[in-house]
Amino acid sequence: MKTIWRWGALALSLLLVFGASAQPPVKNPDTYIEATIGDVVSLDPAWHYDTASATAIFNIYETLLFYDGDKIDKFVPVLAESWTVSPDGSAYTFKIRKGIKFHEGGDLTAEDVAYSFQRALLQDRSGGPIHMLLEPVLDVYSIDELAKKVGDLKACQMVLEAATVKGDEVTFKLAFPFPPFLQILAGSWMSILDKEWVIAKGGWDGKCDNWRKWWDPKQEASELFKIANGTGPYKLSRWDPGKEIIFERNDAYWRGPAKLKNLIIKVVPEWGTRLAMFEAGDADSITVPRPFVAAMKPLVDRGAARLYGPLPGATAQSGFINFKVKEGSPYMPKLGGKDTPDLLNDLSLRRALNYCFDVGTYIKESWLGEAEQLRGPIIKGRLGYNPAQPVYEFSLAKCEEELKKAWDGKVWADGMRLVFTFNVGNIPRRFAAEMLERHIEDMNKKRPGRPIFSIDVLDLPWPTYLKAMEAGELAVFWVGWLEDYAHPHNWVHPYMFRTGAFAVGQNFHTTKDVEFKPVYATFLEAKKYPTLQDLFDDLVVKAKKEPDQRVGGRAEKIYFELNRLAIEYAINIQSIQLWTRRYEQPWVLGWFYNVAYPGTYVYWLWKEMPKVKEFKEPGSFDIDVPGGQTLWVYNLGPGKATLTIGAESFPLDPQGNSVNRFFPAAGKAIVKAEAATTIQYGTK
Amino acid sequence: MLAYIMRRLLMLPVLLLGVTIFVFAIFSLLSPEMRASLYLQDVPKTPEAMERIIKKYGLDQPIHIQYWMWLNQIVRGDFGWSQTAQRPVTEALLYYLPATLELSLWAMLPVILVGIWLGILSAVHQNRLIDQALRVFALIGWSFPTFVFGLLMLMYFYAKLQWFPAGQISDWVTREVIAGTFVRYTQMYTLDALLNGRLDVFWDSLRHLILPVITLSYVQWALLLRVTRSSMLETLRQEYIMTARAKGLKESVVINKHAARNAMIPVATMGGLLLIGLLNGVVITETIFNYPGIGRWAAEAAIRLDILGIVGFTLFNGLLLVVGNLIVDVLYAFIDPRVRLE
Repeated sequence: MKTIWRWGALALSLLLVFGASAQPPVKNPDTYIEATIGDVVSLDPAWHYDTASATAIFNIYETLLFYDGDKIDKFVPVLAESWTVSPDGSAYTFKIRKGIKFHEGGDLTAEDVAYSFQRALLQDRSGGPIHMLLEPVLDVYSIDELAKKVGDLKACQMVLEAATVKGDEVTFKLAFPFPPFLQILAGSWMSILDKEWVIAKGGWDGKCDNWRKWWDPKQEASELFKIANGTGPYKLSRWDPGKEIIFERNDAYWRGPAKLKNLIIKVVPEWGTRLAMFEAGDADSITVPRPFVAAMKPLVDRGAARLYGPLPGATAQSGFINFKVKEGSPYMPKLGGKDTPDLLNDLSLRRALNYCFDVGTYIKESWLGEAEQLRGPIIKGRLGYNPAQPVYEFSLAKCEEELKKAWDGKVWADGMRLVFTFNVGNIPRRFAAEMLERHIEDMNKKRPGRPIFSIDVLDLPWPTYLKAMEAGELAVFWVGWLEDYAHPHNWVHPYMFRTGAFAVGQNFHTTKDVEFKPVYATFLEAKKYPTLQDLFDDLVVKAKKEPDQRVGGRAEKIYFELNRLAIEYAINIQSIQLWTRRYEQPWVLGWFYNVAYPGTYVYWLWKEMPKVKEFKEPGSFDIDVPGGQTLWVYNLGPGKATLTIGAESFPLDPQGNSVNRFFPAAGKAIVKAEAATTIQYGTK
Repeated sequence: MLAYIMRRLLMLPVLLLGVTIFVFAIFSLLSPEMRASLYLQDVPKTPEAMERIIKKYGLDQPIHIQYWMWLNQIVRGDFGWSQTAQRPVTEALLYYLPATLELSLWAMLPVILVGIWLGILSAVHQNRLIDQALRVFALIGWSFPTFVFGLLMLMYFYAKLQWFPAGQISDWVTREVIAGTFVRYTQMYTLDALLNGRLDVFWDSLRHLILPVITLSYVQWALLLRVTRSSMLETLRQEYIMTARAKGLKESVVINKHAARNAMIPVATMGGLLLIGLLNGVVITETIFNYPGIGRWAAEAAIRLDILGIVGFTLFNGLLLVVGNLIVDVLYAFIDPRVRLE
């Protein structure tokens, strides 16, 4: 036994030797570390189309303009000094800022801007982001599509003509007026590259004779796959795929160097490991999947983590209804035992599916209450979201009523079979499908002796699911959409336009002779359309080309119509918008939420323990901010508060969004608490 | 013996070729759309996106043509691109293998030393309290899911006490590697630290290795304890042990010199196989401790249908098993003169 004790003592002493380090109040004070799930896929701005790559590119490169603070409809110039839009809305001219250098030393010029734009259009990799630019600029969804129409050389010449340089100005010409163009230009795919540097690295040479050489490259074939040279606040130091990506501060950054010297984004797929890193202080922020938010609560409660949210996110989940399933599909609907491809072309049946869907329970059980029922395809916070739009509430009585009406009573009399599908492993979608299955099949109790309502719930592997969805083989399917850019067009297009990602598998053209009587957009004429798809297409195009994009303006009213039609024609089974959260260490200051940001923009952040002001009752206090410093204010709760800077006022909801404001000159901010609450703030 | 070794080595290419045909044949069961998912992060945003990907990567080609194209690549020394590792397959193997090798070698020390020691202790004290306690201890280790044990270790020794971090190395060492002040000769940090004369890096690397090593050891101890114990018990019943005792030798000499050495023959075989097993990749341990090893990569490649990554890993695995088993056979013959390799 003595031997065991000797080993035990040795083990303990080893633990003490190794474990001698004590945690300082702020760990790694000059480095921001994020532990996340996804790895960077490519550092080529025109190639990447995922959040992890976008976050990296976002910190290295810059765009011509960007979102103003937490707003998604107001922009500030970044690499552009200013811009103008032609009266007809089809040309955008940007004056390029002077004196900006790329990390490798090159000077930013208007040529670089035009080249970056043209290179992206010509590269257009399969499944990449460039279809967003091609749509407004050349009225196609792929450059190959254009080349097949007009030939390779002409297609390239059209691309060159779409971005022209005059002095220090660049003009982009569009195929038609397209107001969301600014949102698309603010995306990380439109990051500005150094033309000479890219060519030197083997990139497109700027000529039209052999552009196909650089067209649609594989991930590793892109010359910018693993290297980067932007104008942004951080320089790429090293990317170790599967492990981490490391950045160092660009000390010569034109807006002044970032407050934190290093940035590291680590790939940590295992949740327990991320949590351990956070608890040990080795991660300043971690990705917390929704099922694990309970594990973070004790940390938040004892002040060891700061929570923002839940905040409205840019993702929606919907059930989709196919009006006419493709012949031969294994998921064919049946009416009275017979194959009936257009079973769901019946409005009453589609409405019944909506009434039978208990959206409240779905949100509560599947999303832990962190979602909101939508009123059409457009999410809350975007132009065209209509809070007054009536929606289907859960009602088994109304469901029964509509089922009795469907197919002039045939459905109720003869029974039906439907297949509900979702992708393998998606638990919330399974819950949605099974819940609806239960409610529909429960109707059988009310119609004894008749052929039954039979619902099959089927999970399919993701690729099979996508293929079947695209081919129009699925009858009812659940899927989600993550916004590409903060504009309603990015919602009505996939949900309603004939080539949209989901609409392509829904066959809206099956519904013929559709009368349109405007309710909101009364400036549009009432008319009859050959099919429902024609009506949707016409309105989607009218809305995207409408120059008046103001709140209360004409575009908003057309989007209201689209929401209304989506609900009235019941093209979906309840859409919900998901909420999001962010968890960070209490020593991370400066962060604020903008739903359009692809990830954390570290330039705004610094690390120190915040100053704290506790209110036991309503009251106010002043914060003096020295000139050239940033003020950050956050409301820990429980009461509400308001921040006033000059004439501007910002709401500070408990654990809601914070405020980050730069003070060019010394100034004062006033925090007013409406009830007992705790305010955290800092200046740097 | 030499003829035996040559025969086994000559069979190696045939075996590896067979393995690759088998892997490709399995993949022929998957539709092009399923394999295209490797290149899609989300819902295709345009209708033709999936078709373009299938055509671009030749996923609609018959599998024998894809295999032939791959063989042609191999002849040129190109094992292809692993989409999951985001680097060429050869580079991925060379990147992940040293990390797993380092972890396995460090794990083998406590696995072998403590495992054998516990086995001998258990055999010598057969059916007494210490034997029963050790057997229960081993049984718990064997039946404790690795991910639960690993997570418990991580939560206590990393999250709470902050003694032993997750990952492979601290960020300050990575910065030194980037700055060129620390040279990676072997890609194994502990060894490189010694070659650089950097004890601080050595300690840091060791701190990162301790929890995964303990996790791996605890699971393997049970196996080694049982093998050593039964081998030792069998040896202790041999007549030459009784003779040694009858000669009046001290019990420690009887155990350590006469019994333990002979009892080690099956243990040595087991140790070799354990090492091969560890080098195959320890997926769960590498995942929990965020350790960038070959197992974690292979698991991800399998999940995402990264065919070239899987083929690369399978080839490596085949090579490892054949060569590893050969070495174990040769060692066995070397340790036990009664064994002859024909």
